[in-house]
Amino acid sequence: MAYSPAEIAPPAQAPIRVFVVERQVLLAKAICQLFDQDAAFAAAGDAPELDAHALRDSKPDLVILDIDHGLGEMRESFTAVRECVPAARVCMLSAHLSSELMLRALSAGADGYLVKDITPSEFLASVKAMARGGFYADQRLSGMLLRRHALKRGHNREDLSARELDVVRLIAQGLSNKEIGERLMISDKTIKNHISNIFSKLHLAARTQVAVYAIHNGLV
Amino acid sequence: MCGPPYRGTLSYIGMATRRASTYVIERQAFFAPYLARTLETGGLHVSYLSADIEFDYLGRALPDVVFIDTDFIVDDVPDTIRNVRSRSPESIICVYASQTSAAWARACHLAGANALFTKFATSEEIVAGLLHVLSVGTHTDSRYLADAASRHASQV
Repeated sequence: MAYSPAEIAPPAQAPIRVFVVERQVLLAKAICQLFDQDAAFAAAGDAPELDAHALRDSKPDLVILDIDHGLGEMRESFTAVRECVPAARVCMLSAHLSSELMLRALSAGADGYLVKDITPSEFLASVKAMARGGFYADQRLSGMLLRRHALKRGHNREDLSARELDVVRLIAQGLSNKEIGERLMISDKTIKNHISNIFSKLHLAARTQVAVYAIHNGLV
Repeated sequence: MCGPPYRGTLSYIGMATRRASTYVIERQAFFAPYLARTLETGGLHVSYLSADIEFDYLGRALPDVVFIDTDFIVDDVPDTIRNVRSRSPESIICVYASQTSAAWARACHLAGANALFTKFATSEEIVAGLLHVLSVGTHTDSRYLADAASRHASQV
């Protein structure tokens, strides 16, 4: 039996229902207008406070929660939304380009963290992604977190070889390359290679930083 | 709370017959167009919009009105207002902020701001406030007055 085109076409996705909890009146209207202009969204609801009745009645797929304007502690606000609409995705909205705040939001259970300076197209794309089950973290903040993680990893002394650790100790004692070479009985070129590797592995750029690293890590 | 009397030659004189050129500083990109439309509804002509204050532009254009969302200003806000005033002495400076403290409003007025709007104001309130500032040169969101009144009441 042949299938009709309607049967083989992918199922049409229902418009996304969004509810915006935003005390900044004009911003709330601006956000709702963005959704109104995109066919992927149904008309959005909004309220200046966490209004349990309005939230339940609107049956949102996604709730946007502004965490900047006196809605109480972030985790409590998140829990209140979850209790009202357990199936809805929750996106935190903030003016703060802060990786700490983003981590707090995500660890509270949010499905995304949006910073208010993003463009309208980024905003709509990220909300669509979250409403369809995805997860969104601001790319600038994600980049900062990844770099910080890499730096922490880079500062792990286990990344250094035994010989490189010897060189770190001697640098911290104030020895020159020539003195280190004499002490370890290796050539100047090999010393330079070791120091280059140390800089690279520890994400450092100067001998003084290597000395500080050695002191902080109890190598001297 | 009233701001200090506006000094110098007022560019708002005569604005009843033309739309005031307005420079809007708003970092929230997805909000800026909506804000600009709201201001235009209030009788302003938004001639320039930027995420951060472009002092070179300000000094060249000398707009009738400068509308600043100060929540995204990294520097001290009164200092920023003074800088704007020094670059464009006759502009009407409107501050848009989530702050609602009367003391903060007073500091902004003393620094040279003509109008203060809180972010909890509706578009109708903002339009009414703009018409007010264009006609008399000053406007203060009633929420600042409410804060001043409640502080005064708690002291007596």
